[in-house]
Amino acid sequence: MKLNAVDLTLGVLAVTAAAGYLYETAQIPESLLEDAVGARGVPLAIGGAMAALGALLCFRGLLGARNGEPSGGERPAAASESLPNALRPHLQALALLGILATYVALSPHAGYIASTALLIAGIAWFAGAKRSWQLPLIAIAGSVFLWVMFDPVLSIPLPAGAWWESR
Amino acid sequence: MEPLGHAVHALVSSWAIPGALAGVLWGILGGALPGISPSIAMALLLPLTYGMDAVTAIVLLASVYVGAEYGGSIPAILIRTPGTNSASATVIDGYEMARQGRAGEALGISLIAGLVGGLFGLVVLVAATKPLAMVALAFTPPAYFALGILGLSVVAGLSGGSLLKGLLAAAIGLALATAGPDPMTGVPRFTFGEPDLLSGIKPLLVMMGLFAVTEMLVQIGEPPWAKANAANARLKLPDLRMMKRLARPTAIGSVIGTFEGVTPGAGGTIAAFMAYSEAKRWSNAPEEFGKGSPEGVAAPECANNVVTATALVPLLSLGIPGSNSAAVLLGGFLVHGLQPGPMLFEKAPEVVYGLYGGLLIANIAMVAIGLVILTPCIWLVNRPKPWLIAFVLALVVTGVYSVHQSVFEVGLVLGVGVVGYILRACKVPPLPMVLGVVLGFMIESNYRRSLLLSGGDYSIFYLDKVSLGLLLAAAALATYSLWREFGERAQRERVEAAAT
Repeated sequence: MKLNAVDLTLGVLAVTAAAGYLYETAQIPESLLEDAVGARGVPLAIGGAMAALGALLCFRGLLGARNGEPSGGERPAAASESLPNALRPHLQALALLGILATYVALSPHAGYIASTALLIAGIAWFAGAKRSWQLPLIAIAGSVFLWVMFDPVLSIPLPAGAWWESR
Repeated sequence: MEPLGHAVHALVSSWAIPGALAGVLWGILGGALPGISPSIAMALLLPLTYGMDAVTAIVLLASVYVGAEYGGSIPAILIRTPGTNSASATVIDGYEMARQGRAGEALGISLIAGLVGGLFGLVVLVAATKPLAMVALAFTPPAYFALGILGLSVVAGLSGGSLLKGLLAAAIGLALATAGPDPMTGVPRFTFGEPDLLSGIKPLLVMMGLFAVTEMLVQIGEPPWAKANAANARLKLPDLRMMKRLARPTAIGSVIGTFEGVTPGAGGTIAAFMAYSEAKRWSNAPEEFGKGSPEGVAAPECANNVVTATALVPLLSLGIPGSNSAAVLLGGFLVHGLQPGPMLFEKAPEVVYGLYGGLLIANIAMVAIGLVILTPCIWLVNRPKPWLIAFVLALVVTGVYSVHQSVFEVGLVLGVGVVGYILRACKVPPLPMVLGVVLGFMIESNYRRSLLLSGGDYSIFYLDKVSLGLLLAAAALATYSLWREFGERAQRERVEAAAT
């Protein structure tokens, strides 16, 4: 019997997430205004449902049962595809996430225009844009354009940057 | 003919016509920018209306609403980023069409379906405001709870062939909706001591993470998708044959949009999802849904544009703002000393009829502006993929930050994007999760309010006639979806068995 790895993985993740969610539900403080259902009532039901669905997916994964999904859809890694090649898209996604996380950490300090220009240039470079003098220029122009749209035009303040403000 | 005379007079004796044009343009711009909801786009203009006459001010604000609801579908189709909540159902088939190099066709369908929906909604608003207002009055907490359950009943139709995974996605969405203050007691839940979570997680943030961020994380590791050729890189309006095909989904969107619009609190998002699900159910080619079906674009686009007009029914007739956008419009009325409600038609008919005329102009202007701006938009998204990914993500993080000026929320959206990436790798459909986030608060708050009213007696859910009707409809929809899904699965298995 062949396991269905996707269902099994998803089931384990769902049961783990449900356990965490139910643990946090138990931490919800009681209120003097509590009604019959209470602040924990609905989250308990949702957590229970998530756990049950996760358990069903685990069960289906262990049985290796057909899950009724239509064939086709996203291309699975071909048998001949080596593991590093199969992992490459996920590693690229992880690296992109790293650039975005750096942006989140940087923007309050460096300010919107500088950090967004770096973000655009960084992602474009990482995604394979041609390395030329145009790359920083387009990134800066794009960042300034977005700043103009949101800040002066729509009056939505964007981070000025603690580094510049303290000077 | 007297109302028509009122409308024409109100429009020509004020700046309402330029106001409608400017409002639509501003609305499309706001709606197309992720993070700027229709209500924010309207609220930004509210201070400018202080010095205007009442007709111009109200027409301007209502036109922003029309433009923003349409504008939200442009990034939904082109870059898988719904500009507004109600554009999230358009993402699925609209973006798929864009990936196949059919962006111009998808945008053309969205434009025409939006026009049909907007005009249909306007006819309903003009002809049936008073009788339809009674629908709004019939809605009690158990009926709202039942309406939420009816919305959830379409999960099976949105599950893409795996009901178990669809239900899991809906449960994750419902779980996300419980973050923030408890709807009855105000006790903070799942906030982890983070002040930014004290007001809960906005559905728009989940959608931007789930659609835009997830898509870019996937795209970075994939080869470029089909580029539109010269002919397809232009806006393409549907021809007569296509219009005939779109008649059914458009009719479905019109009926559902009317019902959801007149119900305060229901809104365009639920209407769009239900219209998508029902259009798939009644389609001659349901297998095309999710793979770039024109019907999958027309139904939700029509429904959410019907709502832009029918959502004004409870506001004009009862003074009840059924959505954030209607609340801003109510603000516009109050600023000019007008109190929406039954007396509005007697006291200020020129404003009411001017609004009707203004909405007609706004819908026509929407098409005219769309014809001008959509081809350049398609050109823009046909730029080299590295730049597209970079600019989409820059736009998303800027849009998310602009909602509450919160860096934490930018991180939250990235986190949702990662969850979406994992779910996509496991072939879990995203739409049920969005539905769970959108409906979670409505279901929980009205469930508990109902039980509070009945002293814990569950019979309130079937003694209330509207609630009973909606719950029966939900049960019928869910049963039909299950029957159809199991039927299709059995058929697939028979075909595969015969092939081997």
